[in-house]
Amino acid sequence: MTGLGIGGKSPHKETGTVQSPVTRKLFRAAFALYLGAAIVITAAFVGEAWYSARNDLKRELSIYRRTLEEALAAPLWSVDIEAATAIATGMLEIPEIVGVRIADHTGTREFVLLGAPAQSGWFGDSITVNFPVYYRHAVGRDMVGMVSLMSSSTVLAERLQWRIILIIVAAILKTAILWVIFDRLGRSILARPLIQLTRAVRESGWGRLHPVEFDARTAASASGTEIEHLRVAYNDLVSALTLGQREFAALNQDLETRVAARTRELQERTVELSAALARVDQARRQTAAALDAAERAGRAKSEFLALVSHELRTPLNSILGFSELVRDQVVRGADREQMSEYAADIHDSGAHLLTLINDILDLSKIEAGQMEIHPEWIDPVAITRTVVELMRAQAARKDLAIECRLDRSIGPMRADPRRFRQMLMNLLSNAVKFTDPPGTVAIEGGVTPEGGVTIAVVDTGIGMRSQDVARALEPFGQIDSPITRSQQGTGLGLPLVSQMARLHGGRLSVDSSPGVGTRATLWFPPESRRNPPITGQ
Amino acid sequence: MASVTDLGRRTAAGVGSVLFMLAALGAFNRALAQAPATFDGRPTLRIAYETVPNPPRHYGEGTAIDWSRPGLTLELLKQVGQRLEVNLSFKRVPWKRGLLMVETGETDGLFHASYKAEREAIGAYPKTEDGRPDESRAVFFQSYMLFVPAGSSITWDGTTLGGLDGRPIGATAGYAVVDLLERLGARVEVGRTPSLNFPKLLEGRLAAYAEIENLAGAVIRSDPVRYASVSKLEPPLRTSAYYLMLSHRFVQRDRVLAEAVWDAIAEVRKSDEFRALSDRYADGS
Repeated sequence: MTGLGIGGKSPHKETGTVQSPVTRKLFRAAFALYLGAAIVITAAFVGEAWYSARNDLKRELSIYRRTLEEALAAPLWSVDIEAATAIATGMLEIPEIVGVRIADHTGTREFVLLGAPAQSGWFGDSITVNFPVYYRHAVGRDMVGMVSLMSSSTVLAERLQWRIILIIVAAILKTAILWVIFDRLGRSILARPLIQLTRAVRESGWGRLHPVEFDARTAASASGTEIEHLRVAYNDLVSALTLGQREFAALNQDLETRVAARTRELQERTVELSAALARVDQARRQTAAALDAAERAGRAKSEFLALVSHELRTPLNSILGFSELVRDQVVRGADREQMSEYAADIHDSGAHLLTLINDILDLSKIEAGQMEIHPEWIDPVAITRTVVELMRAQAARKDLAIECRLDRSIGPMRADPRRFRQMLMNLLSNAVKFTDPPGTVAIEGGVTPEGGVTIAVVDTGIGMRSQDVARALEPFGQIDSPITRSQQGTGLGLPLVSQMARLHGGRLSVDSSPGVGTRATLWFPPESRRNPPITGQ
Repeated sequence: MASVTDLGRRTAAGVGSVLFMLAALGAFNRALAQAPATFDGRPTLRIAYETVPNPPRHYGEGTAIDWSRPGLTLELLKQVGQRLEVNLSFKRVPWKRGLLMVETGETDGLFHASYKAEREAIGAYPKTEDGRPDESRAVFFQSYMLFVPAGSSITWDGTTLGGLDGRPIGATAGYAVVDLLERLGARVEVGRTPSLNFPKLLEGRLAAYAEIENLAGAVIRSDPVRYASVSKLEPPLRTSAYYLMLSHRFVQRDRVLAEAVWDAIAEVRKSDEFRALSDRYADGS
C-alpha cells in the first residue's frame, strides 16, 4: 500500500504524522472487499467457462456416440472383441477422446478398455459419456453392450487456458485501474482537504484561532462534501470561540476588578472587625480590671477599716491609760515630774491620733476624689528650707543632721503650698524616722533636662527590699513589718505623698536597698514651671 | 425373452392358420408345424442357438425362426419340453453371444456345444459318473471336414496335415476346430460364416477350409455349380458330440431338472417318433 501514498507522507511535520490516514484505511477496506468480490466473480467466470466447456465437450462426445452406436452394434452383437477394439482404437484418434471402455450389456464384463481409465481429477469427475449399444435384428432389438467415452480435464484445460488467462488478466487490470482511480480521487477529494483542515485545527490548538480557507483546487474537490460542511462548521466554531474569548476576557477583567474591590472591602471589614475585637477585648479587660479593682478596693477598704480601727485604738489606749495614771497620781498626790511625763505622753498620743486622723481624712478625701489642691506660684526652695528647719529639731533628737542641697535654678513653680509642705514633711519625717546615727538625711532639688522639677529625700537608713517599696506606697503598707512597727509611723505617709504628687501632675518614685538607704524622689512636670509670673526677684 | 415369446406366438398364429388347413387335410403332424406351446405354472427353459443355419439341425440365417421347419434339434427339444412339462423359449444369437449369455445365466441352455475343458467355466455339460462328457446324452454328432479346391495338394491322413506351404486354413470364428487346426500346426484365418468363407477358398485366399460337414454341405448345395470344384477330404478332421450346454446358474438352481433335460434328450433321440421326424427332414432337405 506504500505505493499508494495517500496521505501517508503528506501531513506536514508540524502537524504530526498520521499513522493511518483515512484514505488509506478506506482504500484498504474497499480494496479488500473489491479484491474479495473480484476473486469471487473471476472464480465464478472461470467456473462458468469450465462448466460450459465441460458441457460442450460432453455434447461433442455425444455426437461421437451416435457414430459408435452404429459401428459397434454388429460387433458387439456377435461379441467380436477384435472388431470392437479396432473401432475403439479408431476413436482414440479423436483428440477429445482419451479413453474408451466397452462392456457387455450389463456393464460388468469389460470387453475393451483403451486409453486413460475414468478417474476423478482436480477439476471434478472426468468427462465421461456412457451409453448402451443396441442391435436391431429380425425379431427385435437387443442391448448388446455399454460404451463409455472418456475425455479429461486436461483437454478442458488446454481448451480453456487462453480464456481463463484473459479473464484473470482482465480482473487484474480492473483492480489496477480501480487502484489508480481510488488513489487519485482519495488524494484530491479526501486527503488534501482533510490535511488542510487538520493543520488549521492544530494551529488553532496553539492559540492561533483562525478560519480555514481551502485553495481553489481543494475547494472544488471538497465542494458539497462532508469535509466542506466540516470546514464551515469549524469556521463557525472559530468565530464563536473568538467572540467567546473576547467576552471571556472582558468578563475576566470585570471579575478581577470586582474581586479586588471585594477584597479591599473585606480587608477593611477585617481591620474594623479587628479593631472592634480589640475594643471589645480592651473593654473586657477594662471591665475585668475594674471589677478586679473594685474587688480590691472593697477588700482594701475592709482591711483599711480594720487597720484604722487598730491604729486608732493604740494611741487612744495610751491616752486612756496615761490619763488613768494621771488621775490615780492626782489621788495619790504623785510628784509633778511624773505627772508632767504622763501628760506629755497623753499629748503625744493625742497628737499622734490627730495626725493619724488627719492623714486618714486626707487619704479618704483623695480616694473619694474630694481633695482639692489650690496651686499657686510658690518658691519651692524656700518652702523646702523651712520644712528642713522644722524637722531639724526632730532630727537633732536622734543626733541626725539634715543636709539641704537645692538648686536655685528651680525657680518658682505652681503647687499647693500646704500640700507641698506636707509632702516634704512626710518624706523627711520618714527619713529621720528610719535612719539611725551616724546615718545622714539629705534633701536634694533640681531641674530635669526636660524642664521638670525633682526634689529627693535621701537617707542612709534601714532601706527596703524592692518588693516592699510597692507595699510601702499603699496605705498602712508598713504595718506588718516588725522593724517599722517600733518607728511609730502611721503607715499612711508615703501613700499620701504619692497621691498628692499625682494631684500635682507629678509622681513619687522610691529607690531603696536594705541596709543602704532610701531615695524618695518627687517629680513635678515641666508644665508646673511654665509661664511663671514676672516678679521682682 | 418376452419379445421372443411374443414372436413365437405371432409366428405360431400366422403359420398356425395355414397349418390348420393342412391338418384338416391330414397331411401334417401338428407338432411339426407349431412353436412350442407355453403353459402357465410351468418353468420356462430359455434356450439359445446360433444365427447361422446348420441343416438339418437348424435352418435359416439370422434371429428369425421358421417354425414350419425349424430343424431337428428344435424338434427334439420341443419333445423334451413336452415330456418334462416345461415351457421352452428360443432365441437366436451369434455363437459367442450365446456363450456369453450362458455364462452370465441370461439363457439357461445353448446348443450345439462340443466339449472343451475351458468351456466348463462357461456352462455345464452332461457328465458320466466318472466325470467325463456323457456322449450318450449329446444332442447329435457332427464332423469337421476339410474342404479343398480341385487339384489341391493338401493332404490329411487323420493325424497329419500336409501341403499347406504356410497358407492359411479358414475356419468359422469361435468354433472348436480352430484350436484343433492350430494344434496341427496350421495357420488359421477365421471368418464369420461359412457363406463368407467358401468364396475365400475359391478365390485362393485359403489353402483349405475346415467346416462342419452339414454346414458346408448346405452352402455347396445352395450353389452346386459354383462350388463344383470343391472336394471333401476324408477322414473327418474331427467328429464331435454336440451338447445342450446348460448355464451353471440354472444347474445350481435346479440340478434335477437339468439332469432330466439331458436324460430326455437321449430318450427322445432314440424314440421312433424322432427317428421318423429325422427321416422326414432328410427327405425334405
